Amino acid sequence: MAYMEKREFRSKFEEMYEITDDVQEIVKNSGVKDGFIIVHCNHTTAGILVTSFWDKRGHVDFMIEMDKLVPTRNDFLHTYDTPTDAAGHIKSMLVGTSQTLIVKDGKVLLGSSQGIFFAEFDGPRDRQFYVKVVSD
Amino acid sequence: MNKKDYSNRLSDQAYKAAEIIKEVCEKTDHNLLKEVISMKEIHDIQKVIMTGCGDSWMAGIATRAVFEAVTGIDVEVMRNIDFTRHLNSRFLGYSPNTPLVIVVSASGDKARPTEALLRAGKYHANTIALTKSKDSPCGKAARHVFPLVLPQGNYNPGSNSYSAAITSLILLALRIGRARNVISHNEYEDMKKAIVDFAEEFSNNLEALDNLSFDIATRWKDLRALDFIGDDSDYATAQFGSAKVLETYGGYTTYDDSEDWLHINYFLSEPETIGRVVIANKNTPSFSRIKETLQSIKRIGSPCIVITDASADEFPDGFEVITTPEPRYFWLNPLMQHYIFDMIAGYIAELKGTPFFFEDKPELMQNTAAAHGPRLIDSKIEII
Repeated sequence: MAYMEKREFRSKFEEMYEITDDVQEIVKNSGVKDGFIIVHCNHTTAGILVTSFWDKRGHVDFMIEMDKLVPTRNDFLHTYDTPTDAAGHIKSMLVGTSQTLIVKDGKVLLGSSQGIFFAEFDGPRDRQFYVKVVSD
Repeated sequence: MNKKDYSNRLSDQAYKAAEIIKEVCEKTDHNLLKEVISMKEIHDIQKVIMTGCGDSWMAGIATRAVFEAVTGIDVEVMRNIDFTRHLNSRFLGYSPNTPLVIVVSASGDKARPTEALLRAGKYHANTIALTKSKDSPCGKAARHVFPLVLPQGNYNPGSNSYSAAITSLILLALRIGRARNVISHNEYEDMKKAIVDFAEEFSNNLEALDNLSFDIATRWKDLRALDFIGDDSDYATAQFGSAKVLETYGGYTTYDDSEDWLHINYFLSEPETIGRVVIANKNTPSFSRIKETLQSIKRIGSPCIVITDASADEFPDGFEVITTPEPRYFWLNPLMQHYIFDMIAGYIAELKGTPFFFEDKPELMQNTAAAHGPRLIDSKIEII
């Protein structure tokens, strides 16, 4: 058995969005007790990742470190949109656009400080992510 | 009188306006825009200077507000003669790729815009020629050519080529604004769509506006002079209207902004014989001043039409208010509102039986912009 839902929102420039509650709700809606999920965003300047939700300053650190890894410059070969967009593509490739997680007892199996996050590497943009729930 | 008996090149163009604007937007797509100027050059811009002659200069005036709003860059609009002969060269090329000098010239073959590009190049400013041909003198003199999509056929006065230039400049501003991340991806897409939406909505209301224009023309054709008032980007619409009076039936005309008008044009004698055309859009920062100016016009008894995106009840009684569709972005008004007076001028010329541009006098016609006269093309180029 498989179940899928989409969620949509308007992002801001280079921000992290915790989507754990959305994902847990979708798992509940699916009725699946044990199985796995794929969380996927169908964008090329955003990513899906798992990290600690305790301190939001850590998310700012992450964005700052990503900027250090991939500085926004105006000499990218990709000039379709903005330099931020070009850098965003690279950041998205590094982070990835999906996560696979375990469902146990009707909930996503996460550590006590783990959350699921949507990372916006450009923005503001209209964004969406999908959660597919598959039972054992 | 049957309006159709007086149809003319200006009324014809008004009915084709939405079509040409849509065509400009489709042909000037994102892939073309991103090739006009590189990302690095866009990020080097500290100032933009737009320059042109006649309608091309007005296209710059009409788009200065949107350029500044969406790019965050200081924009100066200059007449060609000021840029080529009078601007101090210290203001050119003071930093790599800046200022960006945008020269608008539909034909690309006139001496003065070519001189502007050559002068900007001499002092290492960056240059874009908005022109129909890269092989024209302007095209060859510019570092970059932005292809101007022009309507089919030879229309003069070129109200649709004016709208095409405005559309192109707005699209270029949006590209620069997006590349510099001043506007978001969503804003960029919505603003591009708003151009076509506004042109189409205006077109849907055109029959009624056309009937009104013809009615005004029948009542205004014998007025001694016409006086136009508008501020900032609406100043372009005022100036464009005033130019149509000259180009169509050779009438006496003047134009000014709402503040200076009260200092100068207010004193024209026999005000009851002078038609006043006021462009008064509600989001213009000087809207309150324009309404004060209208009170003065009322006091001196001039016939007056107000072209606006506001409803008639915004204005005192006694004015003939022409409300045009309100665009999603106020800076789009100059793209379409000029068609109102274009149609009035065309009908007045037909009602008077006056050919446009000295077209009944070939010996005078040959020197005009409409005929690509030699005094415009062959004027001596001097790089100062």
